[in-house]
Amino acid sequence: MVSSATRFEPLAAALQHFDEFMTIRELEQQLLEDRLRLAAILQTSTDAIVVIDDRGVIQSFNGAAERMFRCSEHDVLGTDLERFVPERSLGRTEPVSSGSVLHPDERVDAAMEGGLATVGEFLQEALQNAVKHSGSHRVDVSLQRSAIDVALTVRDSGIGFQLDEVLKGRRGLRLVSMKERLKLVVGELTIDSRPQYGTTIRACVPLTAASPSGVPHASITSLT
Amino acid sequence: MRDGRPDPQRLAESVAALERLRLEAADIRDPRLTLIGEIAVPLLVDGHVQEALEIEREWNSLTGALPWLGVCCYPMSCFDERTAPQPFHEVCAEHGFVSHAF
Repeated sequence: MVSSATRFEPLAAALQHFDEFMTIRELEQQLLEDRLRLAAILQTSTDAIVVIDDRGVIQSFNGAAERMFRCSEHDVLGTDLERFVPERSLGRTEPVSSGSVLHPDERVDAAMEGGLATVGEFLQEALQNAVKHSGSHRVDVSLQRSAIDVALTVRDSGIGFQLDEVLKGRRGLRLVSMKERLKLVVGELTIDSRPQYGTTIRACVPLTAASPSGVPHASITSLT
Repeated sequence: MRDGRPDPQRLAESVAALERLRLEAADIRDPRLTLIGEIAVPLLVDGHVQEALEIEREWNSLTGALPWLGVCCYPMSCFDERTAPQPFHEVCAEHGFVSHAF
């Protein structure tokens, strides 16, 4: 004869399993909500937040980081953080600060004078372009100097453009002309622009007379 | 890191490049950067305590004056209090604030 208590044991066990299952489901739901809340905080933070793993691979990239580095999370996830380190600078730069300028006492040779004059022309050209085409109410200019070069950057937060499209038109001729002028002083022109993300144009001129190979070079590079 | 070893020069280059981009962020007022990572963890896991500390110190030296926040995530499994309590205290000493994540 089976007692009633024994008969209900399987049912009691099943109910206990069900309770545990529901508890796990609730915890999973809570975990999901916590993750979504954390993701929302990360995304809306005004600080640029970049998460990398133990190999330096980007795992998370919030909205402020997208604006700071001018690229989308989709484009950078799974890539190395060193993507932001210009290839030409590897092994040759040192940290610089914004607005650092050449000290008047520093020795300036003829080649460097030519380079700086070209950087001045670049500034004029880039500012004209920004005012005329960007639609931005603000243009930021920074001059930075490392041990090996001087970099002048003109950045707007305007409408941006597709570089390959612009290079086909009249405006493209001016960019090519700018590149050619920099080429004469072994400089480099970098253009980072895309629609709605504004434009950054940087001219970089070495402080020495010639490139390491002795062969002048210049390039127009789109970072996007 | 280069060949599995800390490379201060490369770290300096990376910091310089990121700082340059941060400064150029025209549409953000006083932009600040937070980097969350675990670059030094593999070194610690492999027992290279001094190399891990070297990275931490180099990082602090490079970014200490910048409006950056570095958040380092170390699994507690890196630290065995019974066999090697020293690394835990040394790593903690290189950070301004230490918290148990969960």
